[in-house]
Amino acid sequence: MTNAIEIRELTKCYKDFTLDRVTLSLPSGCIMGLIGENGAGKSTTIKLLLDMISRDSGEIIILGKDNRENFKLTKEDIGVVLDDIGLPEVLNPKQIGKIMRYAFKNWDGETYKAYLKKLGVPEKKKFKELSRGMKMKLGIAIALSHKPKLLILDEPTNGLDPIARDEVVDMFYEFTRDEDHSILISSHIVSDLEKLCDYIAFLHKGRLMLCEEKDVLKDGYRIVGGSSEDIAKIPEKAIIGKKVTPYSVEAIVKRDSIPEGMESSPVDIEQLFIFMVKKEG
Amino acid sequence: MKGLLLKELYLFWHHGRLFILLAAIMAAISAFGGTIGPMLSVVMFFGIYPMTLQAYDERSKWPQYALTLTYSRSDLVNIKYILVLILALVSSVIAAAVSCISGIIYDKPMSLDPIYLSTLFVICLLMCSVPSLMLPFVFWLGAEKGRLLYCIFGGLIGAAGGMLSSSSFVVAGIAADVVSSPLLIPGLLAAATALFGASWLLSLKLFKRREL
Repeated sequence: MTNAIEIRELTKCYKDFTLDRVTLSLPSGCIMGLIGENGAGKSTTIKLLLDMISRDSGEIIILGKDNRENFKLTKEDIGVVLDDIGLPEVLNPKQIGKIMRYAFKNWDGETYKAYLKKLGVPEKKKFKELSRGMKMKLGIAIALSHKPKLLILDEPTNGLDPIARDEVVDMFYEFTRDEDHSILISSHIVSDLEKLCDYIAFLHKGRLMLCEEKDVLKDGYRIVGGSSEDIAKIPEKAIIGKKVTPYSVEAIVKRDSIPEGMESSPVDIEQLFIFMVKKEG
Repeated sequence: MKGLLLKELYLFWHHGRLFILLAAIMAAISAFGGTIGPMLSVVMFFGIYPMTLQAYDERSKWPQYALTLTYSRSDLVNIKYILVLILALVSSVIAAAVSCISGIIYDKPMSLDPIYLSTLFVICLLMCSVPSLMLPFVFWLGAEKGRLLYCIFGGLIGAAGGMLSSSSFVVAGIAADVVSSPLLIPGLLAAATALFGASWLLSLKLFKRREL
């Protein structure tokens, strides 16, 4: 299986933040969710992927090519939605469509119109007059209308109401029905990612804490609760994180280290992330 | 590049409509008044318009978004310089039309008049020189800071030039010689072309380094 994205030892230093030697791969045909708190490095990673900022070291290969070599050509096959859609405020979606027709060789005006209609984006309203959710939907329509093979999405469901979010998540899911299509998506809304993603990557304070198949994560860890004496029976190494209250302790533990007879329940990705971050501090 | 040009034209039409009307009035005053003066204010506006458009771009975060499309940083710089050339051409055409109309009204054939030709030349020069000086600052620091730094820098150079010319008879003498020299026009043309080219290259280099 080839990789849609390969990042090796990616580093970017700022005065008060360092993205520290991030290494991950997104196999073709898969969806990877990038999870992290504010300032964890999600947007920095995405900007580096798109060569919007210069990296200090490391390597980025997108769709088989280095992202510094003839990237304009590679971008024909990439659809991007940023947290902040930077379209000129006075233009309307119809005019924007005309601009995009010249921007992408594979631009499909009919598909664009269909997406605008499906998402309820008015064609003749100025960009500045659209709500945040509508702006996001317009960004998504643009990203999907030039037959991309890879979608890079930075908080694409931000500002959308739950119904629109569900609709958009379904559209992304539909996109990956083609086995050549892949998505890298960052979001705060872990439930969206849990529904959508095949792979999950946790970023925390500029470091990649883990990058694993979602099913492996969900199968590999369990949540156990009990007294501090009960939890003490579990090897410390097997505990990913724990929450201590005066009355009980809750811990996320590697499944194969849970002592026989101890009750446990399935863990969701959000719990796993929160426990891991708290342990890291 | 066509997409970027179309976007610039949309923005120019939207933000510059009032000015286009004003430019038409100024051009008419120039034509019917038989003087090029009002036309020069139009030229000066056209000259700074690419920087104004860049300020609008930055406010809407267009440069960041454009980089996610099939455009490079070089394309974003190139389009502004192409716009300068287009606006210089438009200004020259308007100035030529104004001169012709004025010539008809005042019964003076203007087509090959050296004064008319040098006026056209000065208009083109003005159009390209102001952005040549300003755009590198804008691409280096952003539209707001860049324009401010340009004003400070330009003011300092202007003040130094003023002090030098008023305090030295020698400099004034040299200046008088230069103005009457037949090499003035070709010299200015060469200087403006070199300035425009150097500015373009410098902007490309500065914008490549800027973190967006």
